Amino acid sequence: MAKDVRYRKTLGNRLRFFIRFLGITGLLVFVIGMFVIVLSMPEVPSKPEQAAPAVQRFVMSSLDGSHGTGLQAAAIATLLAEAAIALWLITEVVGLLFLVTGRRTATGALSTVQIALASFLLVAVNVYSFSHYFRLDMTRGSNFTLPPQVAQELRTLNKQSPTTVVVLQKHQTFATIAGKQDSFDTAADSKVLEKVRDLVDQFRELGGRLRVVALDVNDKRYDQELAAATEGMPQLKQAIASAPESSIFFAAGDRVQRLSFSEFLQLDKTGSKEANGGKGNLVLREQGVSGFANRILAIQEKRPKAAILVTAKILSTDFIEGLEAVTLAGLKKSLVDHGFEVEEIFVRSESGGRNQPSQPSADSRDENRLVSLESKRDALQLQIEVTKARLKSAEDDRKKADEMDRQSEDAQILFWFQVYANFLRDRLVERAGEVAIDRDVAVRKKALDDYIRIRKSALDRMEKSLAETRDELAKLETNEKALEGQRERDVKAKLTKKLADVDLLIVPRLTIISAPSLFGFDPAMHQLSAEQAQVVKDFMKSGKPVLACLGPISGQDGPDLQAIDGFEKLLADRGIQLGNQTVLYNAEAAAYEEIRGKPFTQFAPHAADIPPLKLESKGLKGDRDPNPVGEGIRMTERSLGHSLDLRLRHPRPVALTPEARARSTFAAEFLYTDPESWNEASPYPQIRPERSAFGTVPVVSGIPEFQPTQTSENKPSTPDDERAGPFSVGVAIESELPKFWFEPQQAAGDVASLVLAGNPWNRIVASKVLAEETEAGHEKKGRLVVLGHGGIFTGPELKPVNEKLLLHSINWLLGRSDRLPQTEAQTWEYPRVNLSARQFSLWRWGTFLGLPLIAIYVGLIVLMVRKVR
Amino acid sequence: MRATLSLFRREFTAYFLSPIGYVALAGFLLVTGQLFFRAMSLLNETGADGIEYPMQVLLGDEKFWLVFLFIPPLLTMRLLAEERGAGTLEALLTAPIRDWQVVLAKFAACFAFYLVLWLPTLTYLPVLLDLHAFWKPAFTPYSIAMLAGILVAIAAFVMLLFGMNGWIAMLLGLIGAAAAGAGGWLHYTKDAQHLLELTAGIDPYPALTSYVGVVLAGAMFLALGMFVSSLVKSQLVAAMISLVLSLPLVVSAFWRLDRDSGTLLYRVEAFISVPEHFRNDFTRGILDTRWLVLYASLTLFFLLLTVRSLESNRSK
Repeated sequence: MAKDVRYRKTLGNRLRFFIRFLGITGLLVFVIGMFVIVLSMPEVPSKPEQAAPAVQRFVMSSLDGSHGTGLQAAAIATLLAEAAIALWLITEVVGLLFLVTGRRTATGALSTVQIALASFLLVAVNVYSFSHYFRLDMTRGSNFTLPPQVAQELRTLNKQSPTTVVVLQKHQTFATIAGKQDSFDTAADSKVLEKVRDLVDQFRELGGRLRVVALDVNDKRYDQELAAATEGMPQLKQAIASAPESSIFFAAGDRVQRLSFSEFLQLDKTGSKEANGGKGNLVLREQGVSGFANRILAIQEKRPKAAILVTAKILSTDFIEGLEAVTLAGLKKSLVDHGFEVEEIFVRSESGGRNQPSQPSADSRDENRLVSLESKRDALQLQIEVTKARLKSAEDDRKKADEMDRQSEDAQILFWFQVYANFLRDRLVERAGEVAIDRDVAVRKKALDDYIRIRKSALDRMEKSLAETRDELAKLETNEKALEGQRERDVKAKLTKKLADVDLLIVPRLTIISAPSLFGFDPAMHQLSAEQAQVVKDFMKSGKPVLACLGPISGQDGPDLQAIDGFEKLLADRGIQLGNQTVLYNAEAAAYEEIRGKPFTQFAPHAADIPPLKLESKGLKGDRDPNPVGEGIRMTERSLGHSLDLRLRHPRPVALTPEARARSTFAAEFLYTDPESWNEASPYPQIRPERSAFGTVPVVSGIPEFQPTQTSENKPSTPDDERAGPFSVGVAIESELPKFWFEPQQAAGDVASLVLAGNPWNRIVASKVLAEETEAGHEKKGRLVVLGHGGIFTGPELKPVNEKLLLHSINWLLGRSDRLPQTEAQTWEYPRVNLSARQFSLWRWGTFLGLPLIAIYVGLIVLMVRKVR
Repeated sequence: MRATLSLFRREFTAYFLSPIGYVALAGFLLVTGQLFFRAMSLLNETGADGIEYPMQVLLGDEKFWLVFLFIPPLLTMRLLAEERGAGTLEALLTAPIRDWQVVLAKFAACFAFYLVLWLPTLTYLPVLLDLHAFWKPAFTPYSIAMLAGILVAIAAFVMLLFGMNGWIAMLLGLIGAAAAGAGGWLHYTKDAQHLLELTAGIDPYPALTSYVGVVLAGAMFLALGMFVSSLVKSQLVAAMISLVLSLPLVVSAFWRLDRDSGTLLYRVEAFISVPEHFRNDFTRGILDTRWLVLYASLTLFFLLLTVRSLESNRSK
């Protein structure tokens, strides 16, 4: 019997065995070598495309022994192993080719060529198709096809400048307002993520170079992936860190745009619960891909700039511990988080000193700080000088006191009376109807010693504070812009310059915080000077929008009409009717009642639970076209599945005049108080001193009560009449600017003020201004939102509800309709089949068991038939 | 042609005469039945859960592909390895039939059985597409021609299956198909009322593209399996090797090397990952030419290799 050819020990067989042995050994060595090398590397990049070159570089650098002989050996072994594996693979491929084609005839050679050509063709066709492909979207609604206009715009993207798109999943998109995540929020979150990824893929087909990174905060490798994604892009990192919800970031260079998931697809929780005959479904409202596209297309555009008119440091955007509830820190944070540039303008300067009334100004934050630090420095210097002088005098007296022991008693008494009068006035007592001092000399000396010690300690503190102030001042004085701004004394010109590149003006006026506790700010502190109001008017005349948050002007003795300034008059020109009262809720009456007749304690807790505001986007009668801001809030409410819990304590009635209301194309008033409320002229309790066993104490003698104004034919009702609610506290209008603002006299006034500003250039443009203002100016329209509360956007962080109101308001004011919830949006929901329980069971078991059983049955029958044959 | 048809018939009926065909069919239907149940549950869900593209549950799931991976080797392992192992390959190669005809007939038979595997899954469609059919007795000349054509075509298929006169069967099949096609078209366009009114509550195109994908991807895996079967004698070895060679086309979907879907690495990985093609495209109503070209070119390539492999056998 011939020996099996497979066991013949030919040279070829031996060689093939050797190469295979070498290859498999090489594979083992390669794996071990790489393991050793990677473990020895100080850091391995997480991304494969970065890791591979890094490992390669490390291997090459190990060859010369720079990382030790052990690694040098490993590197050499790895390279040799790679060569062995390559040789093995080549041999196997060639062997396979011969196996397929045969080797003995010319036909075999021809086959080899054919297969080589076919292989080449296979690779070539697929490489070509890999880069030149077409995706045919056959879905009924063209779900994966971009609208032609968006596609056209995306084609214009610069393919040379890469854009990074980061899809950040924070698992809280639709629950940020609701506070807790339910099944609809979770489902919406993941569905939107899927849709976002699809859209990004479509964009990539058309647009420039898009680098897409998905980050999930619950991922264990989140920090590493975040670091890799934001490498060299600190702005992007900052934006991701401050994102409150799942968002999509578009970054190119130092520019970053953010789009929250809900701005792309908004959950309609109300619709979701009602859908499918009440059984529920996930309903999302499509906000359109244009918003998404705009973020990419507008990435290089300037961020919108909002200016906030601030009247005092404690009401600024600084975070001040203990006073954070009244600051605008949260407002600034929300604006910055949503892509705004924020500038504060201090319209009141504290340069007059602590006891001096503040002066009109137009300072930036640094300028204001500079002024306040200079003022503080001067005051401290003066205080230190005075304290030093008094201290020296006290020390001299102390020395003299020891010497006085040897003097007569009368001289001593006289001396000590002088000392007490100068330094220890609070220790003077009344004895037998006369002013007296301590009897014991030692006690007197100790009191003087204590005084000197306390003064010295105070002096130390003042000097320390002065040093700190000087340091801070020195740092600020390096800020040329602040110094230059400080030198500018013309408030009007300065404010005009500051508002020149501002897109939106925010005017917050926090007044009453808690009326029963007499806690609030004087309305008069917010007043703008006439020239400041003129600048704001010019700002409005240019068609730019204003968001005013105005608290009530009530004082202890009723409305402080002196607090009504030029700005409020401008609003009145636009048809806004600002009430002079404060809205109180019936629920608060009980809290007032509790303090009636009792000693007044300023920080008494005020626990009255007030009702939330009501949204009426179509007006109270519901017969007007919807208010766009109100509609935005309504859509947010639908997204939540319940009403927004927006509560305002002590709001101010804000309405539209009947004429302005008639002119408005939509319902201007959109936020109302609960009907269980009234407008009170004097919301503060009346306090009067009353003698008691403990001396004279302030006692609450009167509280606000609802006493409706009686009207008759002779005394028709006025907007200021006390009446029951509801009261409008939120108004959004888009209207033509008052014609008289542009009339020649008015324009001439504007020109005069330009000329008087002293700048010769102003004279040249003055005539042009006159012509422009009177000719075309009055056709301009302007948008305005007025909210009747100065504290609606205060606090260290805005509540999600308040933030939504802010965002809807400013987006509408700036005409960014693509960022408002789309009311006419198409809805998306999961398809449903609605099978009955019986149908469901039939389908389930019929397909899962029925069909396989039929196959097995037929198989068995066929086998049995074959066996019978 | 007759020899090719004869070989096709022999190979095709062989699947029905051996237990392996039924085992594959039953196993396949159990898996797809379970996936269909999941899809149906999601379509019948209340609350926030659901599924937008039901075919994704069936074909976009990696578990399906792990099971599917075994089907083509199971169907192809015996095609040529059995002939080689039993020593009948030489007899086949000496028969008056060309090598490409052998490959074509065997592949077509295998492919036809593969389609038969999928046929029962069409019963899922009424639920997956929320189909509602309304029958009306709209018997017009056109509808009658269509029905008659369908009956004749079925009769011709049965004749062909049971080895009756091939030419007559082919002729009847053609006449039946023409009558059914023309009658159907005219009935649909000319008649006011139709025998069958079909409405789909769920987009039917993703189902159509899914089946297109399944047909083409199946052809690719079968061609690969057939080529491997042509190289070895043992059916088990053929099945194992084709399973291993198919693995990269499936398991590449199980891990993500790179999260940036725009990088070359990601795109290459997605290019060779068949489950990804189904999850992202076919089951969602998209036909991407990259996958179509890949499947078609690999099918042709492996068929060519199989032909050359047979030729090399002849020359040995």
